[in-house]
Amino acid sequence: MNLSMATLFAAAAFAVAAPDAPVLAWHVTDSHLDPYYEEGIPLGAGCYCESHAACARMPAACVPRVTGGAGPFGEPQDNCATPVALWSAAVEFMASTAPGVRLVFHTGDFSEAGAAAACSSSSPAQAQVLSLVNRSMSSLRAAFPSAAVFSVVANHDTVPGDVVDAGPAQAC
Amino acid sequence: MTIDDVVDAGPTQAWLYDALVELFGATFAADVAAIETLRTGGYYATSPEPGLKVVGLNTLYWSTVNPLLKNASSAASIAGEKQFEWFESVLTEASAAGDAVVLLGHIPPHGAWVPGLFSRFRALVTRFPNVVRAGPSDTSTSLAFRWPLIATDCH
Repeated sequence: MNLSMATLFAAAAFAVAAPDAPVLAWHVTDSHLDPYYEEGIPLGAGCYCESHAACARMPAACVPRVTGGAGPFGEPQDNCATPVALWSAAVEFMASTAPGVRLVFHTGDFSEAGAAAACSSSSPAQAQVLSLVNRSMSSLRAAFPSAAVFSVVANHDTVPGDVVDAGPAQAC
Repeated sequence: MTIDDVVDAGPTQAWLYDALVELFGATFAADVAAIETLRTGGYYATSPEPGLKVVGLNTLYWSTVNPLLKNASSAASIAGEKQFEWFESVLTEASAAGDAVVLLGHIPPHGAWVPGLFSRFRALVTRFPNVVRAGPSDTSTSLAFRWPLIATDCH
């Protein structure tokens, strides 16, 4: 839930003590995927590691630099969320390390920090949240075709953030 | 708009929960009861294999990060109470069936929960010490589950 610093998601493999035998599972949470994350975006300019070109609500100074700027696998500042490259690499690692798990759990917060304010009118915040959930769940199911993949809704997976049962007039 | 400007508008989460029926429910599409609670409240309980039950909780109905829970008569508060009663029935049924239960949730119990709810939650799950095999871990309490399947960060 905490996006005051860059939130890199966590994953862990563990065994669920079922009645007959342990069941190996993966648990991942707080992936905060940001499809607008771009390597090289200047830090300290309020860009959230997103470019002005891709996300118009970002300042004009949010232009990728050849050197410096946001790293390829995330940033610990500027409230940057998780780049696709990091998520993809993590899922690939999970699948290669423990491919035979029977259960995969994602305990929510699929969306990036700024999902409550969509990047453009053609991508409403609600659609953006659903797209990120779909993208994340699809990649987990593809990586673990024989596992049962479960998830729950979290405070960054609703619009406005943190709130359920707010009316349309209050939604972004 | 600030978060304090949010007002109760009754149950309005269909945009999300209807989508979750496919996004989450694809894993247990044949479980009619689980799909129904997912569609109406964003939570579910289902059995991926014999002897094991996975319970997905919607902690946005239990945590004060949701400002609508400041009002005990709000739709969100009422939905939270409904979820708690449902949760009790799930554990009771799992106990009778001899199932192991895994709890999934996002906002960890205790500090960020609605006042009084954590003590109720603790009292409930400790009634079933041999049922809940994995779930929230909070070392400041007597709860000692085997793995923190409720995320441990905080808004």
